[in-house]
Amino acid sequence: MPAPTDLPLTVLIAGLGGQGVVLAGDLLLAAALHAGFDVKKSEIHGLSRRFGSVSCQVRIGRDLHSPLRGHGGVDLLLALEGYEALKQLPFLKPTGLALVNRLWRKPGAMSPADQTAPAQANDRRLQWFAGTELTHQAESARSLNFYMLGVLASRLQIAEEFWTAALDGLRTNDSTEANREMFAAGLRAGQAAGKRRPRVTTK
Amino acid sequence: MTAQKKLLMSGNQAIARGAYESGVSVATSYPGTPCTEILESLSRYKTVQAMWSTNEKVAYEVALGAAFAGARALVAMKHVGLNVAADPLFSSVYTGINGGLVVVVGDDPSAGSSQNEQDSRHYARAAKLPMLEPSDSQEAKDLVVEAFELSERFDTPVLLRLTTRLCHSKTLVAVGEPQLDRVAATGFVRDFDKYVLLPRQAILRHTAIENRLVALAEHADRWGRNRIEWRNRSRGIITSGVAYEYVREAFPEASVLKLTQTYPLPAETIREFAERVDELLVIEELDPFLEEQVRALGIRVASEGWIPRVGELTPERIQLSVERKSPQPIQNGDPSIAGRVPRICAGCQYLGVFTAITRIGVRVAGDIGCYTLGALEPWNAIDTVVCMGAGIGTAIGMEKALGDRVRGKLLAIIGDSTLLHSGLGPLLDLVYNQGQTTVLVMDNSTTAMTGLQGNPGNGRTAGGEAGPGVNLEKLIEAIGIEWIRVINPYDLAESESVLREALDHPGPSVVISRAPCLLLKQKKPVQQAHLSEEACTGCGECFQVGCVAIEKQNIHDFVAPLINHDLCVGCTLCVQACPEGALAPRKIVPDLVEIDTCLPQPISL
Repeated sequence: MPAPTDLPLTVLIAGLGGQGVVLAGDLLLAAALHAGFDVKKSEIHGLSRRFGSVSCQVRIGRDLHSPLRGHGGVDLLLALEGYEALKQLPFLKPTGLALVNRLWRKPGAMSPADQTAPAQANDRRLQWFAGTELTHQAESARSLNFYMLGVLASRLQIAEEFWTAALDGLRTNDSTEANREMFAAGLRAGQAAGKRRPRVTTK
Repeated sequence: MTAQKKLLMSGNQAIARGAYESGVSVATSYPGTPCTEILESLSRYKTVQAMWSTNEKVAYEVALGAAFAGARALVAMKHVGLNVAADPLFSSVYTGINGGLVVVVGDDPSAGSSQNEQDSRHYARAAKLPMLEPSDSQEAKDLVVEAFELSERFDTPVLLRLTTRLCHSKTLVAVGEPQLDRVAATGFVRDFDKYVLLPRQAILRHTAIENRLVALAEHADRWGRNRIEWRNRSRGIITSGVAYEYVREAFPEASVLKLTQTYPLPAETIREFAERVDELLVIEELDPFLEEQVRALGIRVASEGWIPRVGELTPERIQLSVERKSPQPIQNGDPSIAGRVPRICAGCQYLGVFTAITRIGVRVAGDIGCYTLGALEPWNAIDTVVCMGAGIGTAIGMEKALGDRVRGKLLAIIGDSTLLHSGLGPLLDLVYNQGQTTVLVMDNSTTAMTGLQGNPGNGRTAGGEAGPGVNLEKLIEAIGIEWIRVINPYDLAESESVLREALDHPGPSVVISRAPCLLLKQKKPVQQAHLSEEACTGCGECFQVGCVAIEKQNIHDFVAPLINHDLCVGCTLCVQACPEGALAPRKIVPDLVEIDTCLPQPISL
């Protein structure tokens, strides 16, 4: 399990405009800061408002240099959508792990029916979570980023108090009960999945 | 945590903080990625008068005037903005300044949000002014403070060069105390030989700036921020900016010469470093700006031809390029997974305008803004996009070259903010040279693409104050355009007929398509489009509107629209586009879902 003891740790968060990728990255950054680490964060949000891809990298460690890593340099990939996960997969280390929300929005396709997973979806480093389904069931679809952040938290050795401190630091309109609940639900789902299937170490 | 207060800041926020700490009292900018947030952040400091200018040239001149008056002034712009501001930049190096002047320019490697991938470092050499390049947010803040000292000591504007990665990365910054005693301007003192660039004075000043460059090069050799980090001497790397951080990541054992003043260069430091390493590499993003100057010193650079010149670097990309001794491709994920093309918002006025234009079928010279997306599917409506304000001039040139072959078939499109930025001169030219081109002004009352900034059109200042805003019709009329019409872009038939009329008009004509950007007031829709499956014939006219809320579904044996009611804002453009009456607006009943699930009977609408 990648933990801040394997420093520096690089996390790439990817998704679609409006899914809350940047906010999820800011929360991870805050939790790591509260835990006393040096952090760097790099954002790509060029055309996010216009249905583009959004991604950010968060690096956690001591005396960090680069704000980002290139292909083969990322330890953990957290993706809120399937194609965004596959697009970013070359960034993941051969020993890395991708935590992916099961949702497909094919680039360029205008029909939800036109959604078949490409071959890369069989990569053994990918671990799938029913974030969209569960947050819809809980009528908290807008909390998907918090759910998946909870999944990520289950793979990091950052103590719960630091996550709580990060969540407490949110602005009031993001600091909702639904977001906290979905974070906790994601954490439990991540822990359960972690027991069933340990970290993939082979390509 | 140390006793000193540390904050997490983007490069842009750090630049703003540095300006505040330097006692800057006047700051100007024109919005543009990657630098927009610098002025937005500065507008929150009470001691700073932060202003959006009409364009980058004006921004530069306002900042220069403040510096002449003895204030510390900062001007920020994206790389292509510096092209607009180049004229005053070059001459202000001659006049020198009085108070400090720092010019911040943000380059965009990989052209994530830009029309080119220029390396603005060449400006420092061409205009003969000192240039500094920070590597992270802390250094960005610190360098603003040092740039003001350098600027005043050498009586010159100082160029501070950033890249998108630095602007948009957040790292920890230890903040300092503001020099509030520096906020008040010291006053302007007449100095004819310095501030009045008549030809004789220009030659005198040229001599002065050549001497200044020699002094600046000597300063570079003594300045601690041009720093040699000795590690293993079998490989030494000269680098600067954010590439320094990549180098430290990729080659942790190598000795490094980190250049922070990258023009003029510290020649002695470079020689000393080169002599004491076995193999010398120069690693920099975009052009071989440092490499060529190092080679001009007679020093052999082993990495000549290895480092990529196109696209952003990463630690892994430079590692591979050095390993394989050839430039390796950009690292932006799996190329077999299609990227997401940016889309115009659901219900945007541009959908109606582009649908009308597509029906008419004209050549369109476009411009820079959200409407640039009209060049894409399904409209393919725009034929040229060059730079801010280029559309009208390009159309005039096409008209003069092709004459009758394009008569009535040529349109220039420009947004309100872009028209005021650099479109008025070309519009004047259209009248003066008796062109017949039609100009379509897309007036959405904001600078939308960069995040809804104020501009002279809407009158809203960077500080949030409301102003009168310019009256576009009167302005265009005063320029000499006699044929002006305003259209409601949500009326498809009207848009089409007025545009046809304008194109047929013998003489220059302007059509203003006016509707505020939907992002200005995000209201809940009161109605939405609904499909009658029986009436739909699958003709596909609704898809030509290009709205993201119109998805596709298979019904019967053809493809029909599927309205995404999470996105539909009820603009009715698709309803108007449907020749079969298969799409109709329907009022939204509040909390429809709840009512639906509570009551046993279906609700009739």
